[in-house]
Amino acid sequence: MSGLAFRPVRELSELVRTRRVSSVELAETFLERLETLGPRFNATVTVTRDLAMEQARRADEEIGRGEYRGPLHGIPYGAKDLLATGGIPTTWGAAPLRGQVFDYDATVIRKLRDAGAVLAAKMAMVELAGGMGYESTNASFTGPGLNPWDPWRWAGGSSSGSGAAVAAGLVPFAIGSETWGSILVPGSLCGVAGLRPTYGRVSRHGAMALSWSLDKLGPLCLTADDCGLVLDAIAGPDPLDPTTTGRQYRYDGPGLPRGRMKLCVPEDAAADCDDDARANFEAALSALEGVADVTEVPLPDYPYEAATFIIQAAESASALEDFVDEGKSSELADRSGLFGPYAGRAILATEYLKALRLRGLIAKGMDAVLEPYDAMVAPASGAAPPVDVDFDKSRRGRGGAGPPVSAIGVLAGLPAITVPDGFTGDGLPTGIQLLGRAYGENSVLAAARAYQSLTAWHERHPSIGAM
Amino acid sequence: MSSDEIDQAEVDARFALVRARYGGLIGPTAFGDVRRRIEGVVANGKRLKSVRLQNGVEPFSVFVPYRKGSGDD
Repeated sequence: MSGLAFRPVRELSELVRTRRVSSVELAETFLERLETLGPRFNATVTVTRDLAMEQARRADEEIGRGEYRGPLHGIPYGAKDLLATGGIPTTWGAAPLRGQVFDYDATVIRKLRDAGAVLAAKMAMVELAGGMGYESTNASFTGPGLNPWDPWRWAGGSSSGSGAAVAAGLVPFAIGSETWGSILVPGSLCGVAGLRPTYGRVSRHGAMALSWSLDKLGPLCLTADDCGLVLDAIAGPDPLDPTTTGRQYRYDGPGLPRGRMKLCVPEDAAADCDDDARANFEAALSALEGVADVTEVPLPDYPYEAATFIIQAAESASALEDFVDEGKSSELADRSGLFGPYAGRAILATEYLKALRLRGLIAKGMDAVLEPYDAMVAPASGAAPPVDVDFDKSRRGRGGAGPPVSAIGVLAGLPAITVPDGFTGDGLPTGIQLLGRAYGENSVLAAARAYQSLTAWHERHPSIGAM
Repeated sequence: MSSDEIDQAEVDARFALVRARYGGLIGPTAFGDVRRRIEGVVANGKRLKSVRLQNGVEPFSVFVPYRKGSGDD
């Protein structure tokens, strides 16, 4: 069957379940795309062809015997290369760790295997998930993540390959990780859906630790509905990760909300946006007003970004201490490896603890803000920057006039999803984000599904050839 | 000193500590960048310090004592 590359997981799984398409056929389609198109976007580190074909054959046998495991059975996917995969290199995107091989699978990999999914590739990423504070797009030994909508533009980070691969139809879904923006940014820059679950919703066992109290794992997919299907498979308590919540998760899609939703938007939400992104965001709000009451709300006044910075910098300084002390950071692609890790060692214990104390007030304050609403709506990002951008220079003078929704979300451990909300005049996607209360993934997914039922941005795909 | 000004003496002190401990790893060509990053640390620390908290506001991370077999392992 042709035209499989850009179909949502929901559609592919129905084709597999009803045996109109075999898992082997799907695997061959996506492996071919990964091997031929993946290098064009610096999206892959390792294509796991042999494993994928073995898992696909097994899936077909099981489905043939009537042993259908669910919507991910027989569906290929990519995993960010910071997830341990037994016997397969796990490089964390860093040149000094090219030969790193674990002898076990991360819990997420195991759960996806149990769901019958087919691991097709380890996806490229910003080295050490940005743990050195990278200052350019060229911060991976696989090269800068290139955007399928325009390969002279960045794919975002740190889950660069995961975002680019889904956007380019190289895999139906991919797993990414986010400490501060690493799912939502590549998701929005690549024009796909990216879900950052609540902290503790998904086990991080076997994932590279950057910042223990901020790290989350989540899916990048073509649609919000697909994100729900994947989250359903990977969520849940794990004795190997004591931070996982005991709350069970069940995705309640794909239906649309029955009544009008209640959404809020922070004051001056689009203050940081350029003209195209602001226009797209305003159009998205107008569309949402057709199915929701949208209320502007003030945010409590806290130093959100300062607290997030201190926590991330202090925790990553500790998590990567041995790597740095062994001199490996000087072998990284981005120059920040020479100096980035050391500033975190100048953080005082009182500053870290102050950030953690503020975090409690912020978490409670934001829950009070969000409690009356299904979700908060805000811009996710503007258009993708040029691939040769110097982040440090590009940030200077920009001011940060808008509300720090990204920092709030990661600091308070809240779920958020980005979905595309339009394109710039240059043909680059922009995105909105929907932020929810802790453990409110189903609410943000429902709001995102409702938005995607009103718009067709997610049905556009870059012109890179279909198979 | 205005609220936005960075205390350069504080930056100097922390930079001196980092340089003394890790100067051999950093190398002189990156000293300026390390110092710039430390300015960021000091600035963010100052923003946190500007928020007054009551004594009873605890860090939002709960330590759980461990005992094998108690269901926490």
